[in-house]
Amino acid sequence: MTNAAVTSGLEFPTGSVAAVGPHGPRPKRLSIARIGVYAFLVVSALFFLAPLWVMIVTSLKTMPEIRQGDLFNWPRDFTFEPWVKAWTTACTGRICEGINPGFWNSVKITVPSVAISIVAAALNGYALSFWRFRGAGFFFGLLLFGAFVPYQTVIYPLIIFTREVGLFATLPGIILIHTIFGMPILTLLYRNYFAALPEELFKAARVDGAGFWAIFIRIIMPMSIPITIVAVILQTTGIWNDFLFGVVFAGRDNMPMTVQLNNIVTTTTGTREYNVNMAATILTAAVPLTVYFLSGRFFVRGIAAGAVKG
Amino acid sequence: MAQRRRLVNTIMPVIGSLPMISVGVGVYIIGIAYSIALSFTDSRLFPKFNFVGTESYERLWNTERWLVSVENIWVFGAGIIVFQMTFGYLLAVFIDQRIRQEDAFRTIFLYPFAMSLIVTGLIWQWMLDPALGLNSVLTKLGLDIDLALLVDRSTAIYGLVLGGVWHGVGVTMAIMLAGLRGIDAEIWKAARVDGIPVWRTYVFIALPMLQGSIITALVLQATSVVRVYDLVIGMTQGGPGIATQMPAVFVIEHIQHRQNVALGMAAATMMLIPVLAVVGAKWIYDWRTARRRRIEALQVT
Amino acid sequence: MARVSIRDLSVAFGSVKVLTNLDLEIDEGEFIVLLGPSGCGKSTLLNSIAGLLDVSAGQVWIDGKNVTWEEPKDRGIGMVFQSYALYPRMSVEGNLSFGLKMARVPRDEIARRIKAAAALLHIEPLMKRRPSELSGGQRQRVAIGRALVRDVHVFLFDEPLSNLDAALRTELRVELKRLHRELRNSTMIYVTHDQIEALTLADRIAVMHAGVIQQLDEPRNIYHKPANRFVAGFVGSPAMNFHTGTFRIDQGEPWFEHKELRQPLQGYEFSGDPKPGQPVTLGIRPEHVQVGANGAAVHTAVADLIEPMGAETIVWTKIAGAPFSVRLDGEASLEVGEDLQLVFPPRRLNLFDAESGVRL
Repeated sequence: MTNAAVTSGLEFPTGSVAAVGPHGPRPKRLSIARIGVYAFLVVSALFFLAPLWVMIVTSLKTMPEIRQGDLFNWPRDFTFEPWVKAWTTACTGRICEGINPGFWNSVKITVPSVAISIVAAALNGYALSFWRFRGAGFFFGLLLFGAFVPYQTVIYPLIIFTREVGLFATLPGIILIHTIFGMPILTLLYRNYFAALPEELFKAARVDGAGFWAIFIRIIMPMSIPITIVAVILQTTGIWNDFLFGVVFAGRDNMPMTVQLNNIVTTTTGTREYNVNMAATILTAAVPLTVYFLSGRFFVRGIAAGAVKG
Repeated sequence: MAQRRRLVNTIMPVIGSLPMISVGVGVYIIGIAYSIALSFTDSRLFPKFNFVGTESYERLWNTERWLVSVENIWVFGAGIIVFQMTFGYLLAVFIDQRIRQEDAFRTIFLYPFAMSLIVTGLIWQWMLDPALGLNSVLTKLGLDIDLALLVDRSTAIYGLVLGGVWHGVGVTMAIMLAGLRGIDAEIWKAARVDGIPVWRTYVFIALPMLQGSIITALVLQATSVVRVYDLVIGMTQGGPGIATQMPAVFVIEHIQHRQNVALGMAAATMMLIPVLAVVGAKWIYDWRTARRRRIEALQVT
Repeated sequence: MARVSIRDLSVAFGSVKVLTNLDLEIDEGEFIVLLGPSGCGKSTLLNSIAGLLDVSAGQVWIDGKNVTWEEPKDRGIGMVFQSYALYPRMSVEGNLSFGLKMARVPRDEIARRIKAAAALLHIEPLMKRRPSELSGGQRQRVAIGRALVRDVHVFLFDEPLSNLDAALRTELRVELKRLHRELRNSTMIYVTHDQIEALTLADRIAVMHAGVIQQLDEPRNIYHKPANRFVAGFVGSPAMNFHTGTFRIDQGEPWFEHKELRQPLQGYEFSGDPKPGQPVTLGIRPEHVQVGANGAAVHTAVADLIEPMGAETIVWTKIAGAPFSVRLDGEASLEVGEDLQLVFPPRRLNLFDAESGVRL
């Protein structure tokens, strides 16, 4: 490649950079505007972080220290005792076993619910995208409409139904409820994802002789890992954080962590142990927070798909 | 053989869609019809199809608890929407300024959404505790601001708004930021060449272009406002007194311990109406946008 | 007074150097085109002139003023973008007036300028419409109008015709040329990768490659006397035919030799001084090849492939093992397999050093 800049007779001065005068990159003045931007963002960040900080430090203080106020101070008398108490001996009504039964109940509820609702929604999204049958559009529209309907409008018939079939206040019952209410968003999620997949893939598989289930299991699902991750994050967070359905459908034996937390905090017997309450709150928030911090961009994608739980 | 295969392939999708069909029909058609039907009965503890016309509705609109709920949902809704839209857009605009720590800030602004609303309610109840919460810090600093919102009947609802905004504004920000990032980069360049100040570009040029994002955010906010339950239970249990009663709480209370199913169902039906209105409005907007785009595509030659 | 002077300009993004020590002087009222393939730095140069990019070193002077640190709005420039970037939610009138309103220009002055620009661009009937209701050509005119009302004398164009279909492109190209003529003392700096646009619109073309101006000259010279192999190959369609061989002096006469291809260089205007045995590249455009047998050297070739294009016909053959294209008149009738006698007029030849590509 040549390096000659060839001109055609127009003169330009050699050594043409003026000795004085602006040249090169603009001087970066830390303008007031820039400072203002950072200031706003930092103050906002403090607003968001403050409650978390308060939770943490309160849970590590002793009750006497808490009663002195100083909400934001790091504990002077550092103690893990509230945590131990929250996990093992805090009282829910008359039972004092801590919040760990609630934790395991939440696990027992969340894992199957996430699995079943995702499989059902993926199946639905798949059937809708690739096998458009008569009436499919109508049912999908119905489901979408359902996504916006307030839970309270349909909760009573579901109560009656689960009572009739003996699923009320049982583990399978609450799993069923979570599956039902997860369907609209998840089906939408999968359907949009599948709609973006090339249809040629599907056609080629049909020409190869594969049927409905074969294509689903062997071709479509393996290609759906990103969206499934989003769906898992969405559902896990939503179901773990749920309170309303837990209160209504889970029953005393399967009380999820959120319900138990509320019971612990609102016990009016004796003095309110704020440190224990805060520890219990952090424990309840721990799982979805961990999912959030580990999932990064996938979480944002989930929101973009319209997370409406709660 | 081919005939059977075709039959199988027609039935299988339907079987595969059974979950969706059964949920759609069972819950959202039959369920809603059932609820609405019950609202016209005099059921107390158990559902009974003894129709009494609009008696429950009349009682509903004469119940102070309900009237307070309705008023509260409007105040709460307005507060949430106004603050989330403004604060959310501001956050989006500021994050859009090519900040080096953008990811860190975004993570911080969004993490509250990962927390349960009951947890949110409990945290903020603690933060707004009159004796030991923020108030104590302010008193120690010598400031005479009373932040114990939840104790006072007239300010409790603002405490709810505060908790709600803290929880959900990150989502609004994410939606608006995605919208901003979708604007053609050359528009920003053109505005810069035109000499239009940055803030004006964000308000007068970018914001009008974000109609889609704004509507999405509004719809999401509206639907979660109507259903608000967990936050209320966590923060105020509907109190003090009935100062922060909400329709969702009203319905659940009446189905469970207040033992008036018909009244609860009437309330639940009333809750459905604004949702239908908002969703209907969005569908009409979408339909009109699609139609306008189709016409434009034909016009421009 | 609308001279633009780029002095010793360097632009780098991190460790990637896009422009290095670039000098360019643009006359007042000139229409200069920055032409080159993707990634050659032409858009970077334009954005640096506009002030949308910070330069790493060097200066930009507009209208006798050092504007290197100035914001775009203070440089006396107007800019037209590839996507036009009209504000979608404002009417045409709003688009034209928004910048002026920001600058606190009095209302009657705004109205006067809009009226003048609208008349010049024939967009008076479109004032109340939104950009989405305009055709591509109308949008371009509004985009130019937005630059016009700023009362500036330097206009920057960033590939404004790239998004349009061929017919519209031709129509708007003509309009642009007419516009430049009417705005007599306006300097226009135009970026494109389309050499037809460059050849038709420019007073001078700056052919760029890898951040360096390969040749800065009138379109005529760019076409007939390309300064190096890159320019020769980039400008002209179909592209110039090249053969790489050796420069020889045979009994005092200059020759080009490559396998069986022997072409006398008697009558060729040398720009350089090649040495015997030096590896050189010979180039000749398909349209400059003469069919017939009256010349110092006749080359025979067999017609492999024929592309009839209506006004012309392109014939693909092989010479010395390499594909070779010849342009014939559209009425010529030829069949595949026919023998062709080709002569290369020496005045039309181009000789380049095989390594550096420089014109010899």
